[in-house]
Amino acid sequence: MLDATGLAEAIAAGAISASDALERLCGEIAARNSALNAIVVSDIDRARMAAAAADRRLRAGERLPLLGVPITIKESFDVAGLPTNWGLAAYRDAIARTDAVAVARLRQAGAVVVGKTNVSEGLAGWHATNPVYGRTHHPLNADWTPGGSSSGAAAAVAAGLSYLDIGSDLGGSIRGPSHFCGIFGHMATHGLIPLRGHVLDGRLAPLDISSPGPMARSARDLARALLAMAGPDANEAAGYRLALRQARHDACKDFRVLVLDAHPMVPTDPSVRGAVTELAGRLANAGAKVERAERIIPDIRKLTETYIALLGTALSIGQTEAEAARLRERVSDLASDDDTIAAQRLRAATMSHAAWVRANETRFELRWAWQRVFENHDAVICPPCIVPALAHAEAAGATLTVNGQTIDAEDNIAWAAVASCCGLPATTMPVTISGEGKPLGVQIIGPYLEDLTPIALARLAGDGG
Amino acid sequence: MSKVYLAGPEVFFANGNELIEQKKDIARHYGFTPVASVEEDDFPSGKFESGMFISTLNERLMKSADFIIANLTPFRGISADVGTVFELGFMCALGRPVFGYSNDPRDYDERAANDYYVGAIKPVDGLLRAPDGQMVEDHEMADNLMIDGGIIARGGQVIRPNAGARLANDDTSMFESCLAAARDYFAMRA
Repeated sequence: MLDATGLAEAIAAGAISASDALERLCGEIAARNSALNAIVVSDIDRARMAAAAADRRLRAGERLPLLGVPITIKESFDVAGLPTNWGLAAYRDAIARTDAVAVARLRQAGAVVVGKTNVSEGLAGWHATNPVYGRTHHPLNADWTPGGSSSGAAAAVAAGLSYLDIGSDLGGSIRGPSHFCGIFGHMATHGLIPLRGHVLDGRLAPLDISSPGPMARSARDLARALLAMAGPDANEAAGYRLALRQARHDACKDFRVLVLDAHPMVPTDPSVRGAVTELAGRLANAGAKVERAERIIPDIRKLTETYIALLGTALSIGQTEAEAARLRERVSDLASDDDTIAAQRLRAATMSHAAWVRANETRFELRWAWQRVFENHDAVICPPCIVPALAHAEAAGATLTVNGQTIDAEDNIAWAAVASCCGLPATTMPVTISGEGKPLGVQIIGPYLEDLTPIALARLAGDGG
Repeated sequence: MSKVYLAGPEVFFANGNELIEQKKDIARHYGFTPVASVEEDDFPSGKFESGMFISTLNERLMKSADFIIANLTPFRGISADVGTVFELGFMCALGRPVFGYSNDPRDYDERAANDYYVGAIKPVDGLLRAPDGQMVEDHEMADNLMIDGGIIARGGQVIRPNAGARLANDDTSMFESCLAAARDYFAMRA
């Protein structure tokens, strides 16, 4: 099966019509989706009309980056006329009136929306299940989870039921599922793609840390979709214009890469660390300058703790006074020296505004520290997640055993923190397969607002240098 | 990092050097390495010799570049600078990606009708004819069809304002849109 770029080129060249490409995809969906439960809302009637319109535009000579390419959209993004409920029963019947900005821009680039893909309930966790749409399964093994929260997006793209999807990521929701399913994913620099239309209750303030981005079958598809979606929202376009720079290098040998394969606060499965080592070796063989990241990049513990503080407050959106009171009670029960990730997250959920201001200041100190790191380096490669794809039962548990150590399952967010603390872009690419046949991905963190650089490295490393 | 050859009539402008440096800075911001004509001042003294020197130098610069961005804003007439158009064709023939921009929003036939024939053209048998009997081409293009056609056929773009008055010579917004188009071209085709 072609990637989105290959299909866009084939359609533009007249090798296949948009309508035929859509019908072929519908055949795949009909054959496999009921078992996977990746696409949970179908928009096929409108997709057929959009594909026919794309064919008319193609005949008239129009060319657009994704003209006629069938895509799916993560359920949490508004698609006009379809439900947006994040898998939460309370929002089951909420129908979006307009497209999210990211969705509208993909349509402007010519994409044909086929349907919406499943999420973990409330976009939290890697269990790929919720009371509205049920559970999504991993395309390689129905006993495994595709990860979350962009569960259906990763499963649909990996299974060939979609050419492209949009994920969103504040705790690994693009990176984890991409890694679990063996596809490419890119979490954009925070703010690069407008978040409007990716909120419940029509909220307008962008959620802190959260960043959307494409999930696809190739790195070049990530670039194509990112360029379609990036840029200031309508109210900012009056004064701001996006001047995203091209990738820093176009050959592996020119990249200066930092390697980070262990996190001081969580264990990481040896298979996942092995994928980082393998990519580092591949890059070094291709002539890249490869160094260990420790002592060059900002302190990982500080990045993680700052991230947890900011994440906890971001997720307090919609918190009622009664909930806050219950949380404060739980915080008062914590031992004062309890610095586990779970304890830090609990404290963050009710932290004072003054404490948030301090964490925010630290975030900006760290972002400027990264700025200096990226003057002499181009990318950091590290695990996207602590484990490879989990069995459904493991993903549902409150604890997890990794490398012989039992940890709180939510400690998994530690690998999301390295990039997300400061809003850096992070591309996830498939690198190898474990002995059990599980895909293993690597996270490539790039410089702030230089998203095309980590995407280019993913492409070049995938091409063999 | 891709090397871009900046072609245009700026060298003739009163503030040409300043403008060329400004364009180079913007190109660098997008991650490109810019080159443009006349970066050396060690020319032969003879008029003809210096002309040959610059021509040879520019051809060498173009061969070293990955692609070209040509300023096609009409210059001393209703069409783009002829040297710039030569360079555009040179790069097309070398098989390099080509991009063009104009600070003039108008189609070629509008300029021919209004600026050259001053309103005296009319349709005859489905073609626009001037009082001198000459046909005026109308392809909804920015300039001669070989220019727009050559660029677009190679996947490049001809960028110009949507409407309104011609932008000032030192307005770099169309040039910057061209850089963004080139960035997207390379990112998507890599």
